[in-house]
Amino acid sequence: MLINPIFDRHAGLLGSNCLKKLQRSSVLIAGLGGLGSTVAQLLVRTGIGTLHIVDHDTVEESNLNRQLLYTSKDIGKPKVEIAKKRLAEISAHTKVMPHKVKIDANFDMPDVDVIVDCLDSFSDRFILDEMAEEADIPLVHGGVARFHGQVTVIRYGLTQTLREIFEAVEDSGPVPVYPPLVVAVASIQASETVKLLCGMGENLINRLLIVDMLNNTFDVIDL
Amino acid sequence: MDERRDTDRGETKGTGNRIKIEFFATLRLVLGVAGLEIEADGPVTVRQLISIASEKLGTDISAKLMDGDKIKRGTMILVNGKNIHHLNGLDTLVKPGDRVAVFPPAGGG
Repeated sequence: MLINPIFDRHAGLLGSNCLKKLQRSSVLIAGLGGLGSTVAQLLVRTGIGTLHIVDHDTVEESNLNRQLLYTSKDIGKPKVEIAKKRLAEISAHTKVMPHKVKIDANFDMPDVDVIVDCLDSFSDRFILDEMAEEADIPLVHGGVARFHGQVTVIRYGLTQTLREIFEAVEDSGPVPVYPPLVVAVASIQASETVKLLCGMGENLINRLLIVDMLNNTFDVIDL
Repeated sequence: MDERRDTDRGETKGTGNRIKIEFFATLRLVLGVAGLEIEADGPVTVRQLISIASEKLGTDISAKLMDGDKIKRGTMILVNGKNIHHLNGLDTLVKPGDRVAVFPPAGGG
């Protein structure tokens, strides 16, 4: 297999079988804010074949502290359009499919191998969780607030659903968030996605990782 | 009953006749402790456990974790990895050897 030079520095690490699997894989990123921006870039740079990106919002000035796909020139423009353009500039290897919609009961879930939850409210996440469960597609959850965040991988039938784990959690509106924490949690989500697709290492299945960047702790709770 | 401040994050469950309580993220800052172990001869409810922990820590953590008779908004309590909303809420029984995790779920993206 001829390796695209973009992947030279990780091809030997992941192996050609993994790269082939990534090339054949399709991932949906729900939400293109702080988490989604970094997850999308990392998956493109790692060599995912097809990426569905879903967000109904436009870029706002207050996004620029942590949403690494956008610049001040993008204010007011749809996130999915800017993201598609910028991701194509990084690599033409990935086919990027933009969906400028909010994920709700009317969303037509494409046939993907993994869904990455980069949404910004639990109420929206619970809708995504129901859709992912119905389609039986693994879900890589991430959430951030202040200096901490959490990641877990949902495999329907093998783990609790996101709704079960976070039952009764209520949203409290936008919370302050530490930009480096957002990128760290997104990096872990991207890594969990690659590992799921390649069957590599140990995933956060039935385990909840809590990252606290203020105290430099990574704790895992068995679920 | 006795308590031991927890600095060892390697253990995953309370040991022997101890119930292990762990706090995460901002709760560690607010409560000023990462966790503790409480010795118990038999099952206690989560509500009782919070009360015992308050006594041992010398500070009323129930005000930080509970809002009257309910779990405080923005706080999640897992007993052996299960959200107590699926069990019996604050009346969920916790046995020696169990692990209780308390944290503020992060909702942003």
